[in-house]
Amino acid sequence: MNTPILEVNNLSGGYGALQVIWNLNLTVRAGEIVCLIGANGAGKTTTLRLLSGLEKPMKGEIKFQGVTITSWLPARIARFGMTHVPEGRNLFGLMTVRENLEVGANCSPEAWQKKEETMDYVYNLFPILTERANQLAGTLSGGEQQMLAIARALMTRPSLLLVDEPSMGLAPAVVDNVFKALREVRENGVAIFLVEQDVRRSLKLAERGYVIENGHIVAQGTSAELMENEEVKRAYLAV
Amino acid sequence: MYAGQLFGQALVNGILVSGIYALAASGLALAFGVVKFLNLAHGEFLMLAAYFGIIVFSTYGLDPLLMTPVVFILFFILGAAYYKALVKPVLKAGELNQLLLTFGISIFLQNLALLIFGGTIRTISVPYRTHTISFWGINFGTARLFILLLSIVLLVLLYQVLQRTRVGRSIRAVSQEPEGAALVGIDSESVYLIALGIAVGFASVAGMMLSIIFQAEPMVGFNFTLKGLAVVVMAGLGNVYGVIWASLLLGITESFIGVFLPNGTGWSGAIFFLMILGGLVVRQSRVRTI
Repeated sequence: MNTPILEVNNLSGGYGALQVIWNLNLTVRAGEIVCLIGANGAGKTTTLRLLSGLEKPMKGEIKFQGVTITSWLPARIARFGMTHVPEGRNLFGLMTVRENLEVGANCSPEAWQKKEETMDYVYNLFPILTERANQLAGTLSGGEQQMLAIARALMTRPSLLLVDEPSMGLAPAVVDNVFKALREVRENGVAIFLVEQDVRRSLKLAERGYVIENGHIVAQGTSAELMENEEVKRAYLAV
Repeated sequence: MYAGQLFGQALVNGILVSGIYALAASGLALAFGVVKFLNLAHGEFLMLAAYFGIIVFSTYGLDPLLMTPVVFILFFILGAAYYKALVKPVLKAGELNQLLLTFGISIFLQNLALLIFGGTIRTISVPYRTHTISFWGINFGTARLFILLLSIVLLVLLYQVLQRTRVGRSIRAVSQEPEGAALVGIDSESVYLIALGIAVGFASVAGMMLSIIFQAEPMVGFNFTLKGLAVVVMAGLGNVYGVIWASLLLGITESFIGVFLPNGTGWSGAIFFLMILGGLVVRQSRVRTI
């Protein structure tokens, strides 16, 4: 379980001429949860968008499952096993919950073959989605939409899930549910790279973490180490 | 003819032509709703298919309506090639470039047709072209009835494909949320290719129909682009499902004006411009997805 599944070397990128990310290095190993923490505008979402191919890197290298995937198209990266749950969730609002899941299973022949099995699994993970199965995704509550976004991503049978701000705008009880589900997903052998503003919660969930400030990684370590880091304590844990 | 009969006849005439409008417009709506691409050369594919039908009919005597599957497949391939060669390169270039390109293609194809086929008006004289059936004193043109039925069958097929198949779901997914679709591994390239293939395929079937109930000439296509645009704007840009009622409205209004206004047929051409205007005011050109 200790082989790196994702290796990022000297990654730089941004939007057009605007550089947001500077020489990023990070690693995610198979089956672990790693979090990226930082303030608003530090470059967390941009990092995820670079990893999943939504933005083209300016330089650097992204290696996933031993293959260099730098500048691959997003769809190809998803089919190769790295699925991004974006901040805006990007659900298919005029399709039912079930249809959203079926589109996720369209990803690869393997995912399609295991469609029913995976669907049972995600319905188990988020029982509320079973009740909502025939409802349009656009009519779901924020929490249900977040659950559906994660569930849809799981339908692609990823080996690494990139999750952007799953707690955004949700009631604490719902966030508990989502984080519990993420833990369960990891126990099923799926690695997770988590971007979160709720630093305490993410460090509790993750094995390791990186701290990003103004597009630079400024600290890294196990969650326990980061919890004790004076800078992290002062800036993010408010103690 | 009694007033009631006249009213009924105008209504029936309007309904009978709306099928061909719906076919032509649904292709335009599909291209707009999925690829976000306004294809001003859409009507020229109708025109090309109309000539294709005329040539095949005059050479082999084959009924154009029976050739629908073959023509659909041929023009699906043409549409896919059109996407690969011409549409794809301008997709990221902005709307103005897309309009200029497709307008240019439209003019090019019109003049090509003029060069090859000449400016004379042509039709396909299928045996049932002038045959009618009457109910309650109202005449139903047999050809128009066949064409309406075929249009309904094709539109129902399209909706079934969009709602119930894997490909259909992918098309809707890309239409509603392109980024979300890419993130779960849907290749938008192939979806665009299929959408444009279907759009041109439907245009070609409408083209065959128009060569039977109307007349083919090199400029006929652009007329259908405009009518299609009126329908698409009425339905809400890109809304494939709204095309049906908007086509009915266009067909019936056109027919009523032709019957009840003095010199009415001259006015009916202005109707779709009024409908575009009215549609824009009412719908505020909200872009819809399928």
